[in-house]
Amino acid sequence: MLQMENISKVYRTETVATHALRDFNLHVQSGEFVSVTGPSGAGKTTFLNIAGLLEQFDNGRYMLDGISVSGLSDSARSKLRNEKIGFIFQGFNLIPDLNIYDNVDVPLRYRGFGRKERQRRIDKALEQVGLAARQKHLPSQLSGGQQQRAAIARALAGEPAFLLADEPTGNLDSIMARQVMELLEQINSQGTTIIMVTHDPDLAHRAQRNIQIVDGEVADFHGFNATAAAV
Amino acid sequence: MFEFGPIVRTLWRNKTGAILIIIQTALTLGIVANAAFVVDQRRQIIERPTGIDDQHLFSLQLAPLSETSFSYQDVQRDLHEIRRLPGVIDASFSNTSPLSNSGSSSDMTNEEDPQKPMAAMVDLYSTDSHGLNTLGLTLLSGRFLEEQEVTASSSFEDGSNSIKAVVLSRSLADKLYGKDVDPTGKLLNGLPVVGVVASAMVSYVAPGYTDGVAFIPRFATNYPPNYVIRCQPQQCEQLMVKVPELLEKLDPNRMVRNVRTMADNKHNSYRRDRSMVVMMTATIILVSAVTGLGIVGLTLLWVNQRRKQIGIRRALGATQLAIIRYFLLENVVITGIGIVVGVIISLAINQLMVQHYSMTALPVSYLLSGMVAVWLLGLLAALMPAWRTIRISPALATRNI
Ligand SMILES: Nc1ncnc2c1ncn2[C@@H]1O[C@H](COP(=O)(O)OP(=O)(O)OP(=O)(O)O)[C@@H](O)[C@H]1O
Ligand SMILES: [Mg+2]
Repeated sequence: MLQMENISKVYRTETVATHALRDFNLHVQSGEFVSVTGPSGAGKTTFLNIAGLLEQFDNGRYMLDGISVSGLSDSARSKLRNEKIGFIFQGFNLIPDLNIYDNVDVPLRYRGFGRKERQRRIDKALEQVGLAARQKHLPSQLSGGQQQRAAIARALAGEPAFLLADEPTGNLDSIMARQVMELLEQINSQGTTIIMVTHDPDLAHRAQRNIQIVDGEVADFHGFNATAAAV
Repeated sequence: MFEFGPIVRTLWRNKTGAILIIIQTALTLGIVANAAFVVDQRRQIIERPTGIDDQHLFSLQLAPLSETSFSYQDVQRDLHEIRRLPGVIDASFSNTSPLSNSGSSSDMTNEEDPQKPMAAMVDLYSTDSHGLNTLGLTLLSGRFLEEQEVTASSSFEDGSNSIKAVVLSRSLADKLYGKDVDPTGKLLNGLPVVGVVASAMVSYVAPGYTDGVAFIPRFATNYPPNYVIRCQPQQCEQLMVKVPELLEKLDPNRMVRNVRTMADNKHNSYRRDRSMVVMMTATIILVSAVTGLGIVGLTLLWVNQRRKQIGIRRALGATQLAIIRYFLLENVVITGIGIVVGVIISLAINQLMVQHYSMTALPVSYLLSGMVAVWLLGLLAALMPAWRTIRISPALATRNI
């Protein structure tokens, strides 16, 4: 499903070159729930960005759903992102000027769905995250947990094969974090592949597999019943 | 595909900037449409044919050194000698320098039907039998003035009784006698009408100032006379030197002044119209530039304010083109509203002007082309800022800055 081989990524500024990823290898099977941990600055976000086609990599091979990603144009990457990938961000990243309904609508419009189809999907996604009654609310009128659920609905509405989450519970208290985690587990049980970056060892251990990134490399694999604590 | 709904709802939540641009666009449309109309009107005025051979005419004026009265015999002698110069087509005297916007004008009334007298403001132009050929006029009916009809007298004496004939321009005849009626043979204010020439501007270029021209064979001995000279192509320049030399030789006891081409007179007489054209054109450019820059500024501001949002949209699958399209569509919505408001305001103001100041109504075509122009201006102004969104990385969504 997701196959990265010897991926490397270097950020260059005028003074320094940061090796954010080096010789990075990872295979993720369809339907897996993978948690990603690692110290700050290790390259977790960089990995997610490359996986989600938000950034280009310098070397290596990346196959997404059997498609080699490296040669694709910007608009082909946008299309692939739109169809196959859902993003959930730490800061929710809802568009403040749009209400919840319009926020969930954004990726569906880029997908080119008709009015009816969009409405059906939005209703279904908001139902799934328990926000059907709040669709006319602006993001600022919702609690943090509700905002994150709205963001998850937006990621789900396109029915992506892949859900990429960068610290989706980082801004939530533990109760809300647990709710969001349960929601992700439920989504995963319906067949969506999930890769989730987290700093929370408890949440990391609830995933089927945990990988640890240290200094731009995959340092450690943990099986389903992993016991080693994430750093 | 087109996100009009969300765009309008987003604008509704960020009204202030949008309303400013809407007002600016509306005013721009009103100003540009009206100014363009004025420019076109004035240009039409400037470009009207005068009806005389203005490119091959010059005139000069005699001024006495000692005497205060002029003898018509001297004038006849001068003109006779001038006509013999090579390059001269014809020459005649006149009471004024043609197209200079100064001359003598007077009311005339056709009282054939006492119930319905027809009055007109007349440009009274004094000349001799050579006036027709000198100015390059076209005789439509009857004949032009004849040499023996010229009367020379001081304007203090009762001159008008002694005038023996009058020739009317067609526009004046239309006004006094009706469209295409031939007045030849009739009496106008006691003067026998002997002919009609094609409409022309003679003393004045101002439209609407006079209704036409009456040519009279009268020489005022107490005014410095003008000589009008028609030259062959490219001959005016040298004749403007030779003729004064000739006049000096014929009688050194006087001065020649105001040697001017009719082209220059025309140029000067339309000075106000031309400065109006320049002013209005400058206004159009200035107002468009201010509005264009306003739109550039606001769009740049919005692009910057929404960098994060652009990153999010990109992460959700928007192509670079979709982001550019978003900002252009937003611009179309704003200028569209501005244009609708502008059209309403323009029509309202124009209606008031027409009612209270009897101004010409603004033709719809100017409003339509104004709409297109303002709309294009808006799009053009938004293009550069919208284009800059290409440089915004989609990773902005995940990297919280
Ligand atoms: N645009 C950039 N320009 C230069 N260096 C960058 C850029 N983005 C990231 N880096 C560097 O790349 C390295 C990896 O960053 P990354 O954001 O992937 O870390 P992370 O594991 O997500 O950390 P955190 O847990 O704090 O979010 C860091 O050293 C970071 O400073
Ligand atoms: Mg990170």
